[in-house]
Amino acid sequence: MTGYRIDQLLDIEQVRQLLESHHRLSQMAYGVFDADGNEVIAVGWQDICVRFYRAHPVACARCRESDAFIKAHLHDFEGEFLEYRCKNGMIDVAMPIIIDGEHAATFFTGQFFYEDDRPDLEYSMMHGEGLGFDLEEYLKALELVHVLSREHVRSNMLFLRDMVGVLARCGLNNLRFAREAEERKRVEEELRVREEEFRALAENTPDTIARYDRECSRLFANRAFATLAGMPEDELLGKTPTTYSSSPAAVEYEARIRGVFQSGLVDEYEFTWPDGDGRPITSQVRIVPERNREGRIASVLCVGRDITKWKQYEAELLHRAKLQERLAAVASTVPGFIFTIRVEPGGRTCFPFASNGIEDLFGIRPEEIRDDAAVLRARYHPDDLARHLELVAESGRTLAPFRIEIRIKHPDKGERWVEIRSNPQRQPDGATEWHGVMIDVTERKRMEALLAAREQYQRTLLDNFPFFVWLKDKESRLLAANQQYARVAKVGTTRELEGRTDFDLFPRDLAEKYVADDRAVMAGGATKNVEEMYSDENGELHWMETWKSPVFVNGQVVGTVGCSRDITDRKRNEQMLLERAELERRQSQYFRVAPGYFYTLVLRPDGTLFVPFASDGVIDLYGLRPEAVTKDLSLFVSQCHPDDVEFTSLKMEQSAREMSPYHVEYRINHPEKGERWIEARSLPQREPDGSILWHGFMYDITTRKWMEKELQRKNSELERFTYTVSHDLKSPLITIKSFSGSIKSDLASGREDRIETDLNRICTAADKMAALLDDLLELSRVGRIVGAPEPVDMAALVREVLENMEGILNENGVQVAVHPELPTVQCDPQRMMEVVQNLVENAVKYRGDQTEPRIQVGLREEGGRRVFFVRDNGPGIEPKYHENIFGLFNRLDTRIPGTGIGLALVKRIIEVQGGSIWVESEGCGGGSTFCFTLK
Amino acid sequence: MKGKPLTILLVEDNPDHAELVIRNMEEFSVANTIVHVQDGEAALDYLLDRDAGMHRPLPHLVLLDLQLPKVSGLEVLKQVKQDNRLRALPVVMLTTSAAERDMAKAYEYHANSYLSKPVDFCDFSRMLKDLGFYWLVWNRRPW
Repeated sequence: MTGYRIDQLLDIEQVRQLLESHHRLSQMAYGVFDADGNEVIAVGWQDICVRFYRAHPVACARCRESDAFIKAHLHDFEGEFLEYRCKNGMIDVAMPIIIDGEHAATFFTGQFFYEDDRPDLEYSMMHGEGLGFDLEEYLKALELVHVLSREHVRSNMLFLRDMVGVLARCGLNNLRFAREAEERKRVEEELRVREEEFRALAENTPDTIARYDRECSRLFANRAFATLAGMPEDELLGKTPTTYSSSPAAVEYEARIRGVFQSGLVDEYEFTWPDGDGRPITSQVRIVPERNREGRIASVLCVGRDITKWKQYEAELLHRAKLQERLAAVASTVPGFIFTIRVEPGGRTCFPFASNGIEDLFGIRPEEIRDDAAVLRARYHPDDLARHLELVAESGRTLAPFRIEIRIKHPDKGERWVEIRSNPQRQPDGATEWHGVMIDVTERKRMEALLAAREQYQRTLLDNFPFFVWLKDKESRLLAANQQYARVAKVGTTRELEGRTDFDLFPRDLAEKYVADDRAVMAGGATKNVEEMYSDENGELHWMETWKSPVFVNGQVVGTVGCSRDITDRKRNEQMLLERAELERRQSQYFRVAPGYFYTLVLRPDGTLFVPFASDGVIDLYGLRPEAVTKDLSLFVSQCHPDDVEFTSLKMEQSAREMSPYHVEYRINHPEKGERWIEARSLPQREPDGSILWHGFMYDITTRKWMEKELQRKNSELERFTYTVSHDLKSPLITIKSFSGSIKSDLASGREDRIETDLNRICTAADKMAALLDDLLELSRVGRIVGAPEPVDMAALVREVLENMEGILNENGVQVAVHPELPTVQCDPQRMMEVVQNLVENAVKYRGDQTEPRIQVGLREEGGRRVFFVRDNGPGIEPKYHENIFGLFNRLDTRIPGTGIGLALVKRIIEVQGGSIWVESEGCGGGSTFCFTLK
Repeated sequence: MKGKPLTILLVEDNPDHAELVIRNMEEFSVANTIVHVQDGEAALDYLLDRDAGMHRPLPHLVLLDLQLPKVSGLEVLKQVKQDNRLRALPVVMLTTSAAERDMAKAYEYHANSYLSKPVDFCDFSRMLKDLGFYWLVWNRRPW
């Protein structure tokens, strides 16, 4: 196909003018249509067609029908041309113009009638009327339609067809020629551009390019080659590869070039050679034969490329491949599998890829989940599935990696823990794919649980440890601490303590000290134990005991651990124990020096008594060893005086009942000392077991008892003494004063008869007072002043007394008989004389009606004692007065002058000498015998 | 004055004091008879009529000293007040003692009065006069 349109092949205007001219000759209308049926030239077109048929809708439709017929039958008509009577009755003739075997255009004539086939007027009028034409105008136009002979039409048609054909062919040739020239020009331009491009390429490519002729002489070398060779390009031309170097590489290169000339085949090889700096460079060289027009190899082109880097990549890749291989091998041993999950926008979830590990982990083959993950999901623990799906959805939204640990149910192994980690990627189709790994972490979970439990144990231990416990790093920051620590540091939770320092928690001076301790411990490398005292914010003093130890990891100190406890109570206890020991030491001293017996007595709930403690005092007090008392109380109890057993035990019961102090005085029978008085005092306390415990003290009060009795006696004596003294002194005083008053009155009234007697009364009373005062003085002297005892010959003493009393004895006719062998005794001789004199004097004074008074001074033995006596034969003294007579101022017979002091004085002297005195008499004239003993 | 003779029993061991009482009583003429005994035993003998057959009339007043030989004044008082026949007898203690113990004891044994002998002669006289008038004149008794 030529591809040309008719208007390109013909000079349309020229052809139109030609056809115009021909129309004028032939009267025929002509038209040329291009291959597509478009009008190119129209000459001599009839009014009937232009103004009527083509302008009328119905007629024109007929025209187009005719056109379509002609077009359809343009190539299958018979004869020289296609002849056709149009639907409007006109003759149309068409012939194709074939150029280069192709239908280039259609030559057309028509709009005429053949002479032998002319339509009649009637028909024409009807036809024109039917179409609604202006009949006159129509008929005028119809009149103008040419009527031609068939031969005329044929010859004109053939001529014109050929002429147009020649013209078109000329046009075609012209066109072709112009086109060829243009093509050559274009090719030449392209060639120039290509050559430019090639040159730029050759000059700029990092590959070396060189061309050699049959003699291996270099015809061309590009810049890269020159650079590599280190020479200017022109110097390289005309040289062989071995011109400058005879290195093995150069030799091989040249040999291979020659080889290509011989074989005519492309050669490609690699070689390694050192560059100018001695670094190995690997080059790949391709030697290509270049043939000339005759097919002979005129030259070879050598293209070299530095593949050193590529080689390195290759090695790297090789290494990577090996690594991957190894990784795969390792992965196969990991208890898990690698996967790609795909979640499509519609929600379909599948595993396009899952490594074989899935079989072990889930008991599922990879194929089972390739298209649907349901089988795998069914193995997920129901409680974990929702959480998992939520995470997956979240990850799908945010495209953030996710990690989860879930439980699954393995058909054989039961419940297992699986960790899933994967990274999401959005796919072009809107799906999301996660590449990840699932690992069996059951064992780890178990360990974690164990660890968590252990940590909980440790935390619980720490928190319940009664010490403050803490862990610090090297900079003394807290890593952890227990609840106790948190409390003392006054923070809510132990977590708040983490990362804090002592300076955040304690007063500055303390914190400085603590941190200094930490440093010392870390530097020293050994545990430090200190007891220190500090005062809290309330000013209360606390003792703390603190241990600090360095913590080593791989031989390096990483921090310290410490624990501390409040030992204030312990310190106090220690102090108390010390004090108690001191107290006990003192107590034992007291026990040793105290004149008594300390004890602890326990009354057990069953009613038995038991003495857990008895001091050594019991030895002296009871004549018993303490062990004897603590071991068995019965001996101790049995020593109680029988009369006191009942009342002491009653007192004890009362003390136990009322928890009141027990205080008794009672008698015991001491194995050596005989009857002794004991005072016991103790305080009861109730013990938790229901026992009652008495801590008590007993001591010997025998002396006190005697003293008390003595004191009582002395007191009553003193009382009687003062009473009597006041009475006996007052009596004569009353006499004196009253009779003085009486005398005054008598004198005033001139009555003198009784003045003398009254005066005598006054004198007697005054004498009595004087005597009384003398005797009292004497009595008090006796009590106070006692001469040292000395051996006194009683016989001599009695003799002296009687000599002194010779007057009174003779006066009253008293006969005195003295024991011939009176002994020598130890006494105060002066006092003894008073005793004897008083007794003899009394015997004389109270001789009563005895006309032959006799006095006997004698001695008798009685119970191993020497009893001295003075016996008279007077009226005697009734037994009821035997005690009274020795009392101060007591007198039986007031008619006999006396102060009532004499016998009291005697008694006192005897008692001061350690002896005793009594009277033996029946009264009724039977006489009296005053007896006394001396020590 | 009533026609009935009034008797005082004076129990006093000190003869001087007895003389003082008697002398004053006579001076004021409040009693017809003053019977003086020197000790407690004699007083009881008199009052309990132990001297067989004496049948002495009971005194209208007993002046009783405390310090007495043989039987003390208190003992006498005790026995008088224990005796149904003697109980109503006014017994006035007349003594040198001003000891509270003696007073307490005397009243315990139902002494009708307790008098401490004044040292001054005028006081002594005045007291005895008052005593006599009170007990023998103003004081009413059924016998």
